[in-house]
Amino acid sequence: MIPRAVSASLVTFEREIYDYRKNIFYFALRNLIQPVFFVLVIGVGLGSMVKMPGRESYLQFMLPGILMMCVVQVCYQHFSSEIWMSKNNDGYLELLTMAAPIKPHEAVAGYLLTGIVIAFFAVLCFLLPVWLFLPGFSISVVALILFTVGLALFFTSAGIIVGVTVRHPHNLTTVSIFITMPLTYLCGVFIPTEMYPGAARVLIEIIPLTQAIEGLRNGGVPIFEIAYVWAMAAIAVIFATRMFEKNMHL
Amino acid sequence: MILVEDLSKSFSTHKVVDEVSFSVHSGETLGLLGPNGAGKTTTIRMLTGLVRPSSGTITVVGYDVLRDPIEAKRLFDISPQEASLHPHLSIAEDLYFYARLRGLSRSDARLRARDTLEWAHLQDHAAKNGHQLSGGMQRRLLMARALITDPPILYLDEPTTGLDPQSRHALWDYISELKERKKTIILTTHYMEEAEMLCDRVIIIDHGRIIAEGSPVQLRRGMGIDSILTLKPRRPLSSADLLALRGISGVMSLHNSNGCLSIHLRDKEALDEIVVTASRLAGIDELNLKEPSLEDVFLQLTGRGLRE
Repeated sequence: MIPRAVSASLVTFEREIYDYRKNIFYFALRNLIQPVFFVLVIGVGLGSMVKMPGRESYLQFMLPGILMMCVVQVCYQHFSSEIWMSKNNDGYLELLTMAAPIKPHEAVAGYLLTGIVIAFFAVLCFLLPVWLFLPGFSISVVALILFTVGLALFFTSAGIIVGVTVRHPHNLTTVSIFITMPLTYLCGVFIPTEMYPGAARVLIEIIPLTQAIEGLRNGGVPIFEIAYVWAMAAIAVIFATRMFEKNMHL
Repeated sequence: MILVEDLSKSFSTHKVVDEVSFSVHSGETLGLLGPNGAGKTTTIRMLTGLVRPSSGTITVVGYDVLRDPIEAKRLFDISPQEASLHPHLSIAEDLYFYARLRGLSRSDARLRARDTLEWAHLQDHAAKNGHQLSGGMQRRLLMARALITDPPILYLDEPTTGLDPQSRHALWDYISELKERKKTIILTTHYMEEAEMLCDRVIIIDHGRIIAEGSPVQLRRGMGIDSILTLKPRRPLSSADLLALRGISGVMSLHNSNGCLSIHLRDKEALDEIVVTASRLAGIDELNLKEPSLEDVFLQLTGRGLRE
C-alpha cells in the first residue's frame, strides 16, 4: 500500500510526464536546437581558431558546459512556463493543489521528480549525437548523473518560484532572460572561470552551474562540487516549497 | 454535516466576511445569495480550503477543514466559478488525472472519466481541450468533474452564470438530479429564480454578514408583504400624486422607476382604493398583481443601488 502523500506526488509526476510525452518530438527538438547551434557555431566554427593550453580542443572544453546548460534550460524554462500557465489559467493549479486532497509540498515533490526525468532526457538528447559524431568524447557518468540530479532540483525549484510569483506574462519573459542569459555566458560554458577578475570569479563560483561544469571538466567524481550543488539544490527546494505554499494560499 | 462558526476573512484592513455562522444538514441544498462583493465566493473559497480564514472554524462531518484538510477534502468537491481546466490536456485526460489525484486507481479513474463524460453528454468532445468547449459545455464539465469521485458534498459556485437559457435549464436538471441523489449542496447564485427553485434554505449575505436566513417561503412571508402591484400610469404622476398613493392604508412602500410604479401591499384591501386613485390622477395603462418573489426579498434587504 503506497502512502497517500507518495501517491499524490506520483500522480502529479504521472500527469506532468504524460503531458511531456504527448509532445516529446517538440520537446526533443527544443532540447537540441540551442546546444547544436552552440556546438556548430561556437564549438566547431569559432573553436577552430582557439588554442587552449593544456586542453585537447575548445570543443572538448565546451561540451560539459553545454550538457549542464541543457539541464538548466529544460528545467527552468519548462517549469516556469508550465506553472505560470497552470496558475494563471483560471486557477487550475489552485484547484488541483488546494481543493483536491493533496498538500502543496506533495505537488512540488511531483514537479521535482518530473524535473529530474526531463533533465536526463535532455542530457541524452544531446549526448547521443555527441557520442555518435565525437566517439572520443568521454565524461564521468557517475558525476554526470549526480550533477544532473542536483542541477535539475535547483533549476526546477527556480522555475517553480518564478512560475508562482510572477504575475504578468511580459515579466515572465524578462525574468527568464535575466536568469538564463548570464548563466549561459558567465558560468564557464564558453570561457574558463580563471579568466575573470577575482571578485567576479567569486560571484560566478557561487552559482551551482559553475561548480557542476568545472566538476565535470575535472573528470572523476568531484566530491566537493557534487556536495556543493546538492546542498544548494536542497536550499532551493525548501525555498520553492515555501514560495509555492505561500503563493497558493491567498 | 457542515458546521461554520464565526468565520471571518480580512484582506489587509478590509473585512470581506464578518463572523458568519451557519450549518448545513445532510441532503440539504443551501443557497448563498448576495450582491457582487458581498463575500459569497470568499466564503465558498474558505469552505473548500482555497483561502485560509482570518478566524473561525469550518467542520465537515466532524473534520476541521484547516486541521484535517485531507480527510475533509475527500468528502467534498467544487464546481468553481472559473473554467479551471488544464491548459494542454484533453477533457478525458483532465478528468482521468483529476480522479487519480482524488485517490482512484488507474482503471477506476479511466472508468469514472468515461462515465462522467457520458453523464455530462460530452463523450463526443472527449479529445478536445476544455478551452475549446462552449460556456455551457465547460460548466457541465466542471460539474461533472466535481462528481468524479461521487463525494457527498458539493460546492457549486455560480454554476449557471453567463449561460444561455437552454444551458441554464440543462444545468438545473443536473442539479435537481443531484438533489434526488441526496447530495448536500451549497450553491451560490445571482439568479433568484434558480435559488427559489433549487434551494431548501437560503442565506442572504451583504457586506460580509448574514442578513437573512430561511426557506424561500419563510423569507417571502417574513417581509410582511402580501402582494406587489405593478402599475403603469397613462400620464406622469406628480410628487403630490405619489404622496397620495403612498398615504393609502395598506401600502407598505412605493417605488417609481421609469414611470412605472411598484407598490408593496400589506393586504389586498388597499387594492380598490389604489386603482381608483391612480385612475383619477393619471389614468392606467397597465396593471399587474403578483406574489412577492425571492428577488423582491433580496432587493428589499440589500437595496436597489448598484454595487460595482
